[in-house]
Amino acid sequence: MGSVAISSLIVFASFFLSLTIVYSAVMDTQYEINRAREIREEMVKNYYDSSVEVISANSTSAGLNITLKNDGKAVLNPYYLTVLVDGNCVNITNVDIEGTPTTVWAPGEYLNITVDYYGNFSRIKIVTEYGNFAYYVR
Amino acid sequence: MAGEGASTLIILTASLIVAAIVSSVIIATSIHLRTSIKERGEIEENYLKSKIEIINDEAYSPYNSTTDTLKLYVKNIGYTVLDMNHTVVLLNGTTYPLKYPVNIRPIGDSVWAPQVVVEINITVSPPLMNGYDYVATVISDYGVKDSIRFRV
Repeated sequence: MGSVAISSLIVFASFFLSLTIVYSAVMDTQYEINRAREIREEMVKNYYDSSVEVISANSTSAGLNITLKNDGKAVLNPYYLTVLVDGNCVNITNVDIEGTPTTVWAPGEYLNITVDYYGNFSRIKIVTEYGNFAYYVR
Repeated sequence: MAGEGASTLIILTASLIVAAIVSSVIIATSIHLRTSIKERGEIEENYLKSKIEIINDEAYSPYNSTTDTLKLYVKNIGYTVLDMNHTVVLLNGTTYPLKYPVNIRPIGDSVWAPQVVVEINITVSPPLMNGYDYVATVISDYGVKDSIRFRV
């Protein structure tokens, strides 16, 4: 009887320990997934809150000057913009709001960017950090 | 009496060995299960935090008709670093290998971090033609993907 009791105790203890191991793994994983879901929801919210408009685009000797308006509700980072001119990705050489370089492009503000492109163009596509885009067709 | 004591000792030892084996199996299984749960959770977590977008101009996608090379610009708009070597490109349902090296913008970056754009070149066959619509799909790490309908 004693041997059965001791063996049962060992098996029960190991079973309890294994339950603890699995339970903690499930809880930790659930926590991380919930955090990832919150980030995903924030990404979706930022996408729907963002909107940009191309106001004007002019070729100059310094490059192509583009004026943009933040038409959405989200603050954007101008350094995370991507510019395509006639289908080709071009480098941004200057970013400013009323002459001041900044990483904060608030809703309603006009942003001036200069891109490394010279000559004629027919289409510009601007892509924001959240994946929104705007076109300018000449 | 001495024989009964020996028998009891043998039974006790045997039951302890059996209990130890059963316990080790239970604990080992739970450790494997914990590892699997965490790996699966990590996959799900990375999928939720990752997002890509093909940002080509749909009306003006860069295509070199001499070399039959199509260029796709793909922007990482998620929160994870992706691996270009795990990226698959499909054009009208057919997979094409990436031409290396894959250029990264801004120039100077070496990894496909958030907000970084990669230039993926593929050699297509048969050649693309004006006036036709095409569908390109890019699938990357964690199963994130994006598709675009375009002309050249």
